[in-house]
Amino acid sequence: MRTAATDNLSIYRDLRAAGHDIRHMRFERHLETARPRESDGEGVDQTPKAGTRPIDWERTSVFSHRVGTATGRSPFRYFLDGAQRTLPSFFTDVVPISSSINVAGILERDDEGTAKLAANTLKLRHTWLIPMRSSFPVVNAVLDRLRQMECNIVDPLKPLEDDEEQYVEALADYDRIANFAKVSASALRQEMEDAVLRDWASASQPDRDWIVVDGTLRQGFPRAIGLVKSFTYSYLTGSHYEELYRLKPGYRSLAFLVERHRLPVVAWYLRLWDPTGRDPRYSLIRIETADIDLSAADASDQIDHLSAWVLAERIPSAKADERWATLLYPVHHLERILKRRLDIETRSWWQG
Amino acid sequence: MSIADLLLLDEDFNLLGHDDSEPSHVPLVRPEFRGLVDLQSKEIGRVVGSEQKPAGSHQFFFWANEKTLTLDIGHIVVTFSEEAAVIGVVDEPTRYSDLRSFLDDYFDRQVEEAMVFDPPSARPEILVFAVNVLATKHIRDDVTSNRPPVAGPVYFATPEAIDYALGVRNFSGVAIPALMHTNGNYERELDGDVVLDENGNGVFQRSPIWLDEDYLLGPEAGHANWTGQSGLATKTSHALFLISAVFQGLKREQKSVAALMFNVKGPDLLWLDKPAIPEPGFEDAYQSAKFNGLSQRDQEVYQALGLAPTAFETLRIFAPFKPTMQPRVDHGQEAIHLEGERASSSGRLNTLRTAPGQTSQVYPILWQLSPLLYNAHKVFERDDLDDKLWGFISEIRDDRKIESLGELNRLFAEIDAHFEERPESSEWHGHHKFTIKKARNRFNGLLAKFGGLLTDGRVEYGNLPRVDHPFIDQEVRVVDIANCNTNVQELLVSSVVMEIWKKAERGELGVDKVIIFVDELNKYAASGSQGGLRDTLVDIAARGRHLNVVLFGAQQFRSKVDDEILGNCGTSLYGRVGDEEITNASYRSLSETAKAELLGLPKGRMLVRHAHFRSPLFGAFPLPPTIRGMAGQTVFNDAKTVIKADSHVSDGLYDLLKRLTKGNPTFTKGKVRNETDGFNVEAIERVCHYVERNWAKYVGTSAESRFTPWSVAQRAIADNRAKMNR
Repeated sequence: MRTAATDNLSIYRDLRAAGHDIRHMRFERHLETARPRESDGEGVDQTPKAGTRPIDWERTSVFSHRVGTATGRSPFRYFLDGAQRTLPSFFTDVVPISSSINVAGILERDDEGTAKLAANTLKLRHTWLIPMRSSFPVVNAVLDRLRQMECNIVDPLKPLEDDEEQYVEALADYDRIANFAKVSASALRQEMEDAVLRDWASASQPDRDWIVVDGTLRQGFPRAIGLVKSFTYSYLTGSHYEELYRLKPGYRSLAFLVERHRLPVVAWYLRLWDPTGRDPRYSLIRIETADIDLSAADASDQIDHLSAWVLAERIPSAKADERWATLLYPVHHLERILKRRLDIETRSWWQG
Repeated sequence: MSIADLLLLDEDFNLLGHDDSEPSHVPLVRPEFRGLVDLQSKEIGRVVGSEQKPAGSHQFFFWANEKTLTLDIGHIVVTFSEEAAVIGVVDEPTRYSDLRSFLDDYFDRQVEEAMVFDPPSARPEILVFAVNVLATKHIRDDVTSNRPPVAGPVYFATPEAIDYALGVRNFSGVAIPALMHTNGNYERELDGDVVLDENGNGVFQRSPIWLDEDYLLGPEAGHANWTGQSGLATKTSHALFLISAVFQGLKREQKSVAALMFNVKGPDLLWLDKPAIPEPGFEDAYQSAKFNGLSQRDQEVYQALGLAPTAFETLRIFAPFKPTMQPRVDHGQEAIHLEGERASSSGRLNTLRTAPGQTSQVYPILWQLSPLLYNAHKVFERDDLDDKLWGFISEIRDDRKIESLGELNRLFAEIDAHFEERPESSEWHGHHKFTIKKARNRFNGLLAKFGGLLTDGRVEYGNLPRVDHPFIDQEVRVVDIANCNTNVQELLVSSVVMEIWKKAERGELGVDKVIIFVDELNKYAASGSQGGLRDTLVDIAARGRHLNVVLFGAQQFRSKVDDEILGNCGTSLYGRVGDEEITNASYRSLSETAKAELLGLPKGRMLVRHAHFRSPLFGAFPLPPTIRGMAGQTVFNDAKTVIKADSHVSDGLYDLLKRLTKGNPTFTKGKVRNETDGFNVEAIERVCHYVERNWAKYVGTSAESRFTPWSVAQRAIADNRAKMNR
């Protein structure tokens, strides 16, 4: 059975057999555990373009208020998340070649609270991250082999493809290529999540229950919210910004409309747990949706309703994960499934 | 070959096609193993092996499908290794979740209680079962595999798989049903529908737990042992059930068997010839005695096990006389002729079975002095038995051949005369006069010490059966010592068992197999004890299976029984065990789960270990096929109830005749009643004695073909009627 692990090993062996000077990196951990370089500004939040500010606000006179008790039935039935593992495969000259394995899926929960992967939503892809415009013969030999095997290939230095000088300069910088690889890997994961959501939404009924997307909302499907668990950018400024960091547990901020990459979303913040004694960002999440019209008379009620049910999702708590304070249990459940899938795909990495 | 190949190939190694009639998620099982798995119940779980708990040859783990709610401890399941089916019994269940600590759930609960509804998500839990391997079946019959199972599906085992796991195919002897195993899957009709009971509930699959006769009764292995709390473990009930199963199984194979038991409590074992299901006319009497007999369910179990719920056809009860009621020699007599005494022995024997018509199978035990002289260590106190007394006993036993107290008293008179004639002498035949005086004093007390068992003269049994005689086929011989004092009890048990053992060594048992059932085994073969009966029981345990005598022993405390006896038992059964006892090293071979189950095991269930089983199994058993002792006493012995029941004074004669004609009488109970109309109890007993005595002479001779027990009885009836009319 062909997996990322078997591909990795066979390519290495083939090129070594052909006499190329290629070195393995079998003792390296995956890049997601490596420290980012400060200057790359790497973060989990999809940093908006500078200057993006709310263009509309919720019709309320207070910054925050307590979210009431959830009533009725939970609107959330589906949960989407993805996972990635980027493994250093080999290097030649000063060029690292990485394997990015991405997986995404949707978890479906029934009325009894039992959750399973929704049928046909699990997708996995193995992508090789290798500069495609170098003059290094061994790098190009690897490229040829990858093409022969019909592997997925992405150039991590693609953002620099319009600047030849920068591209060539980057080719001489091992660290820089590695960090671009990490960014590429994240982008690949996001693309995969977007594809899964797109395929699923197009096949589902429009009046279906809501889906919770882990991370920012990049597509404007109805009945979907994005949950951003850790963010480095705040849309709020001034006194709002200060009040945000003093938001009490069980309280939400006022909502606002932002336009991000031509997608208008209504967003607000919600504090899940008591932050006393902790970083002011503790258990603070941002919720986004494209499905609410702030000018509607019941907009606040809709936002409260969604917030109340997000609060209800705090338990059972996923204390086994250090991010539990902002991690909804179904997302945690789905992550475990996806990471196991990654384990299977990368089992016996470098062991044959 | 991978597990996928194993599942998807037919016997020609072609890929099995998809069967549209089966749900697509049911994997296809190799033809060799299809009979072992309940495919209709589908997969019930999946084998897992982790770094901490890998799958092994003798134990593996699987997590259960959350829909499989009937799976539990003791059920038997099947999974697969690369080329074999692995059959095992479910042991410890453990429920896992990803909760790090109890406190995490406590804190979650604080939030939950503030909600007005249940949390929307359920924390996933998996139920993981440990399974102890019973057997593996390789695709090749000539290969034995011990390979652990691979990760894959688990199914409920079918009766075919259970029989395979019990090793039934390798049984060299008769298969004896010991218990009924109930699995977690349902029995199904031919069309696949679940079989329902009268309440509309699904009936679970049941299959017998078989024991191999050659490993229960020898020669391969032998002996059985029951452990359990008194009154809660139902040891005796199961022993009676198993003995009935043995009797029926061996009868079908035309092998002869008998059992020897000691009744130590009330009337417990005195009514084994009376059925649990009342005969016509006795229904009300049974109800009055608060005995409900065999339930419909119990009867179905008997049927499922291929057994008939019938009482033992040949019961013989032996009992000593009540203290001071034993026959004594009259003036001028040397011997007591016990056969002649029998007619008047009713009510004098130390047994509770005394009702008219119910005593034709009750026989006396009466000893003269000589057996006691061979059991001096049981007769005299340890402190008394010094070398001097031993020497004197040896003289009177071996040199003087004294057999009775009467003869001994005459010897003492001679010794008195010797010392009178020689006042200066202090010895007689090397024995000091004080030793002789001491001996006389001790012997004088024997009649009281062994009240009812010992008489002063010699004892002639005549044609009466003796407790240590060879057995007859299907005989249950009960020695009733319930009301005897401790001295009589210990002496009788020891003496009878030793005599039977000697007969076994000489090949004089009279049957192919003899079962000796000893309750309170810790009393007779206590751990660390020495000598006497203990040594005999150890010898039986060690060699009995080769000499066709097996020991069925029962005790409350297994830890208190001699290891040599327990170690030779091929079959062990456990009922409910107390918490103090279960911590003992005697139970170390049982898993913690099995031990925990034993602490609360309900009546009617047992755990069995047998030579063929790699792991012990739980099972249930029905009530014995005989009426319970106390109930039998009320129905058949209590005057008020006997009057209520449809009984007649001649019913005992009818029972005797039926027994002698091996259950194929050419006469009816009504005819017997008619012909003995007007007879009292004594007359009936005289007729019974006459029939027994004379029929015993005819058996094996040409007379057996000319006469029948009924014709012999008719002669006796005519004689007695003639006497009545005079």
